[in-house]
Amino acid sequence: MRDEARIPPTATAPEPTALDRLVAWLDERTGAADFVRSALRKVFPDHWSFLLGEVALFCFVVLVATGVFLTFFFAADSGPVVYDGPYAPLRGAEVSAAFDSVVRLSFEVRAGLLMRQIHHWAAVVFIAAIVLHVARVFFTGAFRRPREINWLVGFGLLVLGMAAGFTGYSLPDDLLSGTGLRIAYSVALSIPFLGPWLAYLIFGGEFPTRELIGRLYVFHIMLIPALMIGAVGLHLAILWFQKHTQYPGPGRTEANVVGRHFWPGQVFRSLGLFFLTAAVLALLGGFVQINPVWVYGPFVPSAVSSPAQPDWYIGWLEGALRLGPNWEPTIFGVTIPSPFVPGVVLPGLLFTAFALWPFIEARLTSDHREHHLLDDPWQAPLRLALGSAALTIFVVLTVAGANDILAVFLNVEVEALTQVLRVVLVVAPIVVGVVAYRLAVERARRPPEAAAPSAGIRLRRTADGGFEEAEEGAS
Amino acid sequence: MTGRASDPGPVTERRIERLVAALFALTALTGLALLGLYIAGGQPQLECLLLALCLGSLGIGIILWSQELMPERQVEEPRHRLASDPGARAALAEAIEEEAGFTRRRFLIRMLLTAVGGLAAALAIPVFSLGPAPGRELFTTSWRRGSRLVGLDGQPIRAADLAVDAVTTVFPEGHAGDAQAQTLLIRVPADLLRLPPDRAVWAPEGYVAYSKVCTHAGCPVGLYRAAERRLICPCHQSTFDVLDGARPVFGPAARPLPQLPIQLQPDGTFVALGDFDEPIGPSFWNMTEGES
Amino acid sequence: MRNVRVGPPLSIEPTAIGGFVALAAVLLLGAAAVVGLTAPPAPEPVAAGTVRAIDAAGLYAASCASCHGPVGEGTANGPSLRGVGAASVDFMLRTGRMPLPAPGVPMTRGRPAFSEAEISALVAYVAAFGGGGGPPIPDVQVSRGDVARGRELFITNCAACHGAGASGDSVGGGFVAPPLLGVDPTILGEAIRTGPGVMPVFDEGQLSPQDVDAIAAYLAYLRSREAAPGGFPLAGVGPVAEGYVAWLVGAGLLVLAARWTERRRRR
Repeated sequence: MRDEARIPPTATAPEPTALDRLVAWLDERTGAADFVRSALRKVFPDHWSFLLGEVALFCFVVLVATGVFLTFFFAADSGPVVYDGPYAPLRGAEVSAAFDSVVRLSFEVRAGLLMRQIHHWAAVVFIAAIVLHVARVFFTGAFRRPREINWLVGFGLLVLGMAAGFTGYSLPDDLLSGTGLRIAYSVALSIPFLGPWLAYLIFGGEFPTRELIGRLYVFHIMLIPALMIGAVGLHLAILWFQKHTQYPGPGRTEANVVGRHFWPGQVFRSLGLFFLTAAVLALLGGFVQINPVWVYGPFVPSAVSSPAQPDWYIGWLEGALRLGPNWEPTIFGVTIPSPFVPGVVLPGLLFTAFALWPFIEARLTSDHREHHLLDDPWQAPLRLALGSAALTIFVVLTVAGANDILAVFLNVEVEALTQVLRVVLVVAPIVVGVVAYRLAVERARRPPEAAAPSAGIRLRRTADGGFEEAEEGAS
Repeated sequence: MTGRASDPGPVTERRIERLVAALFALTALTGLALLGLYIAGGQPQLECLLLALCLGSLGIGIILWSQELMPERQVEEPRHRLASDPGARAALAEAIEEEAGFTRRRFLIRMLLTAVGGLAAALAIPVFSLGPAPGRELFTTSWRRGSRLVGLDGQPIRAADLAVDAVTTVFPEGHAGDAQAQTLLIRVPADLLRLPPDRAVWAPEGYVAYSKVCTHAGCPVGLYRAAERRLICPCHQSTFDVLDGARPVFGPAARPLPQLPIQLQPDGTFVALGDFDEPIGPSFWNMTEGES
Repeated sequence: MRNVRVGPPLSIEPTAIGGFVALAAVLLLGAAAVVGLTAPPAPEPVAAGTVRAIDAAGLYAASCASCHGPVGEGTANGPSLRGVGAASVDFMLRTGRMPLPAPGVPMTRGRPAFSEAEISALVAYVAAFGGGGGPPIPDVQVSRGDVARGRELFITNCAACHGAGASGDSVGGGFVAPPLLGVDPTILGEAIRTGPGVMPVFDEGQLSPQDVDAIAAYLAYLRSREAAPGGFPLAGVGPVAEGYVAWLVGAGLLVLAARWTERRRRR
């Protein structure tokens, strides 16, 4: 700065502060001063939609924190015990030790129910935040070169997150989640040639097995979190190294990043958002009941409750199974069970396309350049159309997963609703895709609008290369 | 870099400082109150409210601090070229190859890969121990000829216990609660049954028994529309016609529920005449094996 | 330099406070709707001072005979009521399922069309058709029931259609197993014994009077605060309702929080 250059050379150096001493002590041992300085000065673009990934990360942090607490109380054992706790309707009932431990945590451990509910709310909100983040990344084209690897890592995180959720809510061994496990077993069973072998391998035999809860526990608290923490680390490291993308705007090019310094602006805002996220999850965790396993009761193989749905992020799979036709051909002695196509093939195709999308789009658009400036979603009609269509498929399937509840709500026959949804599943994505495409092409033809003067900040380049806010009315 | 013209003036700054300080004070107070509540016994909704206020006020305070009390600067830094220069890449390739000399050891590398393949096969053994090989279990249940029909409590079901259009769940005696053997015993007006002759003898006096395990994805087919004599599975709405051999009439199930052959004893209890004549529950690829 | 908005063209940002208020309103409305939808209506009490005798025959002729026949023998539009039993008649009238607004319309739970006194009179009148018979009105006492036994019986016999949380659900074919929280215990007993609509019948051989007491006691308990320590129970609907809340409240509030975090300050 010009002012600093005027410090008289004869002035004595100021006394070292505590901060100076700390920095010196660490730097003498690590040599990290330079790296940390550049890290603190790293520039991050400041649009709100870039915080969606952070919200997901914060949900994950809450999950791990509350999850650790829960592991001290959960008994991953299917062996029978007799419940004799304070919840009267269960007294004297023979339940599994796993179920018993969850009910005891909910009714007898101070703040136990709160921690359990915060944990479960964090899980359902976590996946929702990921979906919003993925939608932002997808529709703005942030996955393009050089960020294909990070897209794949993110895809892995989504799948791992769903697996963590499914194994997690199956741990209490209650009637509702046990029904879901039975369905998962049957879907595994339906795979031709490999099915019975694979189902027996995963479940440890014919459903229900004594080992199942223990195995789910290992996945849920060790294998999946380890993979997720590694994947999150990789996700952030790649993002850090490649630098964040940014929306086009004044002064923003493919060759720079415009925003604020990591320290203190970005750190403070992210930290504050973390506490806000935790606050929202805490609010849900205490005021809205979730997964009341004592109402469902312990899993009994011959009992079932309806409505019977999984957590929302598995709802699309449930909907696919409900909408699936009753086709079960036998070809050369090999039966293709009816859950196979909707339960294995369809998700396989959808998720493979999802994972490979950066490469598919690069092929379709013949665009193999590096991109650091984001697209306005309307600027990429093909991506907008296909992405909207894919989202429509998932929305229709998720709605179909609750067709019985919807039938009551709409006062229609569930059979008729199911038939209608089958048609909608095929027609709606096409309609949505075509409409999105046409709208995008239309918008491209219209001249760009000037934004209202009060909607943005006017920036002017200063002589030393920085930016300053221009006065209102200046040209 | 110069700051924005919109940086706060001193008066506004003090006001915001006080606001942020007040928020942090709220954080401290609610934190302590939460501790006190916990010691006093705790209550989920109050705990939640205090926790949310504690976390929320801290979050809002921190964000307000950075938004209002720190100079807002738009700064810029150049993006570095991601790819290294060709010289560096060549140096990397050389570093990998120079002392290892792998290009001259193709055969050895192939043998190494073969060795690793063999080792991987051996290391996979513990994985295979995770589950038994599926045997005849998928084709049979614990029903045998002479098994008495009992309820979940183990007590034999008597014909007189069931009114017309009643339904109950039964198991073989000694296997109450068995997941595969769970069976529905339904009483319908005998004249309404439309079973073929070889199946009609399995349903004495309007009492008919079907496997309760849905042939779609294995959920218990627990819903019964008695007036229509239709069984419905709650998971995916597969619907089965009780009068017509539990034939699927709606939904994704493709196979009827297998019928259990039962016989009414003189003392009013029921016995099975044998196991189901086909695999129960969801289909699997080789389930037609062994069909005559 | 012309001002160009940074970022994709998004709609005008609502104030965070407005957003919070809107969400709270939606949540409260939703809660009210859910509570309103699930609570069964009570029959109107007899107006004080009504002393004139109830003309049961007249009521029957006016409201029931067109479908059930002048002496309950049945017609093309409605089944015979001979030997149907007091429990069935009382159930249908007290829950407002009968009389139907028009022949062939599906039965729905609603306000009873008659007062308590009129219902008692009609029950006695109709139960006498064809010489009587059929299940009598059961004596169900919640205080006598064991909630633990009731829970077991409810899960085994009732939850498949009515839901473990007694929230009710579609049973297909256009029929709905209704929610059961807040239902009068006697009405519960009547439904169990008579199997109204498409519901199966559970007579004393299957569920003893003690069993029915237990189920009623359990349902009463399920409504209490002890059964829902975790907060608002979302009518016992389960993961679907939880998913809506996760998106509307959870994701909604967090999107607002993200937008507020990056708001441009006005000076």
